[in-house]
Amino acid sequence: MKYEAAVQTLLTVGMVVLSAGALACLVRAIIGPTRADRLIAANMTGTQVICLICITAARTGEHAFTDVALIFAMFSFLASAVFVRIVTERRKDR
Amino acid sequence: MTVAEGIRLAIGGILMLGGLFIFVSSIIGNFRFPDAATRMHSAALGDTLGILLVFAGLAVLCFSMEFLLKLGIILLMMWVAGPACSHLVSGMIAGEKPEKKEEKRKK
Repeated sequence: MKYEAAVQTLLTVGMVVLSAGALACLVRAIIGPTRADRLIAANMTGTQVICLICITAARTGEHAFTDVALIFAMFSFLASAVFVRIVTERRKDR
Repeated sequence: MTVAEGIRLAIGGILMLGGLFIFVSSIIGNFRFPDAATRMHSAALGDTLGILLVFAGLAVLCFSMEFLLKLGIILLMMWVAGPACSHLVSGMIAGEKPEKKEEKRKK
């Protein structure tokens, strides 16, 4: 029982740190001067949210949350690839 | 708490806190570096090493075979997608620079 309580405390600390980090990355995405800065900061937010979802899955014991994290990873990559493609195509049109 | 559980808690806690340290240092780097290309370097640090350490800590702390396999699939996905995404963004940064120089020359 004591082991379970220690693990819960450790996972809670991880969740708090990762939430603060995701918020800081969003701030960076808002103040970033160029489009590349915003895209990099949004990618970092995605990575930290994936870690957060996996820690939530371990903390609640619901392992189905890891599927959510996998889909989140796929969509995060797809979104940044599409963003880069749109910016590059728009530049070619000029 | 038995001795085996204490050892498991120590190993998992060190891995997990190491991953959180990597994430925090990557955020500090993202705020303090001057350029988009250098910020990409600190972002890639959290994308690869940070996620590996956090997942290793989770796998040690809450072990089950199903959870471990799913974490491995997510880790593989991130390791393939993260560097590919960095490559695309670096192409975007490299395409932006000559444009700015041309604008300056026109002025």
